[in-house]
Amino acid sequence: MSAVSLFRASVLGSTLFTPLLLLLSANPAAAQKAQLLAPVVPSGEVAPQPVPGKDQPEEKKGKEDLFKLDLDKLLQVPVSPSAPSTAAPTLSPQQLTSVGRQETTVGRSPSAVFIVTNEMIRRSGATSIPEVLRMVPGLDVARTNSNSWGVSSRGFNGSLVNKMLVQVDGRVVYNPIFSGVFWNTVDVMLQDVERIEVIRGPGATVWGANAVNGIINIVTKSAADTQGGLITGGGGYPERVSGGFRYGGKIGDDLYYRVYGKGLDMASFSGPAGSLNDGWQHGQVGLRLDWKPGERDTFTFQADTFDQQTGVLGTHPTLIPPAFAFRTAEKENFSGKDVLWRWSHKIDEKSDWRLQIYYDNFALHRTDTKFDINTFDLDFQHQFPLTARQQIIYGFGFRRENVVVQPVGPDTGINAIQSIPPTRDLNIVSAFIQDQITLVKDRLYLTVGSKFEHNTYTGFEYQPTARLLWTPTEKQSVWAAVSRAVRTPSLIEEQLLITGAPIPPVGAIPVFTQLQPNTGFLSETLIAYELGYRVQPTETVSLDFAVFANDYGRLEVFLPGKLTPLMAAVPAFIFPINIQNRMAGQTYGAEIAANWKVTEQWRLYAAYTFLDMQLHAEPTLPIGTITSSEAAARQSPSNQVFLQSSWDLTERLELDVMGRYVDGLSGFTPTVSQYFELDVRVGWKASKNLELSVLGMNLLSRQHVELGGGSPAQVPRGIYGMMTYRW
Amino acid sequence: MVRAPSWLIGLLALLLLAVGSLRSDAQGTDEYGVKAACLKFFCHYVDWPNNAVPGDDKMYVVGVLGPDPFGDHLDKLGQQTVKGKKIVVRQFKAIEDYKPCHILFIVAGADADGRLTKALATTKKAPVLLVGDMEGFAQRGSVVNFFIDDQSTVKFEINTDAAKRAGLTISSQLLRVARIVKDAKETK
Repeated sequence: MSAVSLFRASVLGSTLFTPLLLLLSANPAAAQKAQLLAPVVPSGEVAPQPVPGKDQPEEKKGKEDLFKLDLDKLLQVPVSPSAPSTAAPTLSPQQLTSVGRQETTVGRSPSAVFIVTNEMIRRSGATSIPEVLRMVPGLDVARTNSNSWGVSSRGFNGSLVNKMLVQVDGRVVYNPIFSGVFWNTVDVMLQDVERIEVIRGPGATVWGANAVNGIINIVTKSAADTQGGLITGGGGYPERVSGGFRYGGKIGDDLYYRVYGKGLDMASFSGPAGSLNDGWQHGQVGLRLDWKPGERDTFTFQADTFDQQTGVLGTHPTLIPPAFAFRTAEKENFSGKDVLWRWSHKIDEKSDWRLQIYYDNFALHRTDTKFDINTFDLDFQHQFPLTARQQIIYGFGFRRENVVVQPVGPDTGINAIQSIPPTRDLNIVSAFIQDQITLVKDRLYLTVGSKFEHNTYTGFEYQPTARLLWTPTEKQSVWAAVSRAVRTPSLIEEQLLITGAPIPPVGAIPVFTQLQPNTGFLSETLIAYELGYRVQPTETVSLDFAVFANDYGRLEVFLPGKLTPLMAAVPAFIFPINIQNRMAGQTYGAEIAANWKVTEQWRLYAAYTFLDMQLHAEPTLPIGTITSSEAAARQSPSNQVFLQSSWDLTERLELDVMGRYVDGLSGFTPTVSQYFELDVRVGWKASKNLELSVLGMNLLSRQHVELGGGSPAQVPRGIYGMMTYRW
Repeated sequence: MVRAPSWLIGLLALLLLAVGSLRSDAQGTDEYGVKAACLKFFCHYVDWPNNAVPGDDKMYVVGVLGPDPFGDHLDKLGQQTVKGKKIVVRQFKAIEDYKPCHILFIVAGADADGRLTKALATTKKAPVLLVGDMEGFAQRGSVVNFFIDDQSTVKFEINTDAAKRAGLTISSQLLRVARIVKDAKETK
């Protein structure tokens, strides 16, 4: 146990590697170790499903009496087009771009898609993006502790989820350190979010590496749509206090801007041994400019910066007897800044191109190690009709991630984290092409394409897809797809040397567990087979079904190595853990989402997710490694259910009830129990400008655990009161 | 044993939805709500010659040609009053049913091309404000045509040639917010 926490400290901190910690904390006494190792490897998670359907909650504006608006206002009301004016299906008209990088609608997407609208975010009462995502069918959202979440679809959840692509306004926010997301650093003004597009299954053909099990694409509104002021603030537990402001204005005729700022203070959670000291404070400011000088061109400029103090129980290896480790309750500092510029040019109704450039700086300063990552990314895409029946989209991109990892703090004789080399440029050069072919007009479409990319670690990768969409009627669509995707290696696999506290922690000759990089580590691969059906049996009901079979190859396993003496001033040993591509796996699942607008005032929504994961480590591996690696199959829930009722009690009073059930996770030691939880939100529109709400979270029990690990955090019952004033 | 409850819940959820699917509230979408409200403004900002429609001293007649996409919004439009005159809504399945209107909305869809062609022929030179809902309809001779712009808001274009032909006077208030187009070359 102590080793675990040690490790926690010495690795990237609580936020990252709970599983790794486990890993390192393991006792060299083989088998047990192996078990601990397992968590790092894939864990199965259930993927929920997208909800189709035009009957998702519309923007509030929709409820205004349109006949009372003046003409100018009327022509500013955003609408959700019910059907493309070319007589297309009216099924699931919500727009999105994540599927093929082209604007399309859910009903016409040959993928498992779900859209969270601004209104759905508001009604959820959630104050952070991962908490919003709990409603998304097909996503497994598990809170690791106060400052960390595991979010995955179609299995492999954990605090080191590494097969999901996450973007904010076109900027990639998953991290090259472990190919995963520090969800505590992904923040936007939720009131300014246009929509969150979630795709389950691979989207690598247009998006590239890491879009293996799913894509989460957070899209904020154009500055033109966020004019005016907004102040929001609230408090409660565990989010003690948070607040934000936004102001949007106009300069001249075509230039719109907004500026925003926000901050929060989150309390620590507790684990089996008391407080985890994992509370955090976050502050962020940013701006966005949208300039539309003519009909054809749109220029967007965005910039954000944040700073965050995150608590952690740090444990650091040292060569100083007798403990050979020291532990402190400490803070780590996350900070970041980004600048993005995008130029979209419309050539005609069916052709356009887009050029996007961004720079992103991410820094994580722990007491023993500093990570600094500077990313430069350039992306171009162009679409045009090749013939009347073929729409081509192609593009290319270049990304450079300059990664610097350096030990800091007092010299303890041994580094918790060391990078070989300490500074490196990781380059990704990529191109994609995709062709959408209309086989039968308005009925049958075939999409084929592939991504080709070259990265510093594994060289050339290809990621093709073929997707068929059949729309037999305006209210139904059937789709099927076969795709290949890869999860390219991250720093952890390729160049980080991570050393935990010694095991046993006290002794004359310490033995340090050490995760060692493998420069020969290859990309993990996936061949995915998917089938889906969407139907809108009545105007008020929509259903979405998807099933999949995923075949993974070259999955990573953590293999214990031979005890080796450490060349140092003091006698010591290293117990190495090697990372290798030595496991295959299959996952099968079904996702069902249903939406029912019972009346104009009452909406019900349900999602059910089933997942079956089977992992097969190579039989030649030590039995302990096999056991631990394959345990990941039982670290994502097999069954998940989400139910939501959104009810407008009166014109001003809203009641939202959200219940969820998540299966237990037997792949962890100790196992994580199944749980039922309930959130209730009451919202009151006190006046035209002022809205008050109270959210009760996890009301059914005092606390529950969502994800296993060394010292699992108890997610507490919570309450949060919030007020929003707009003018 | 862990699974039983969750399956059960899933099943219940589906049942609930299945029951739900038995009832149906036809709803227009926001898009058509806005378009319906625009139709009211057209009544307000367009001047028709007297006796364009029988009984037009007391009412504006708005016709909808094709399967109704408006739902409730059409009923609401029918409750509106403009310049002291009631708006009366008439629905026509096909152009053969057509009776004189101030405004004739041509419903979008696969058959819309045919509808427009026939409507143009039937209402030739009559003082009717033909309103299209498909790309290119204004250029083909409908006076007004709706479209959705990049900001996902409803906008419309006005073919001033067509308005002149129909003998309609369109207020600058309307022209100000519209995109002005002309006949396409191939149209007479």
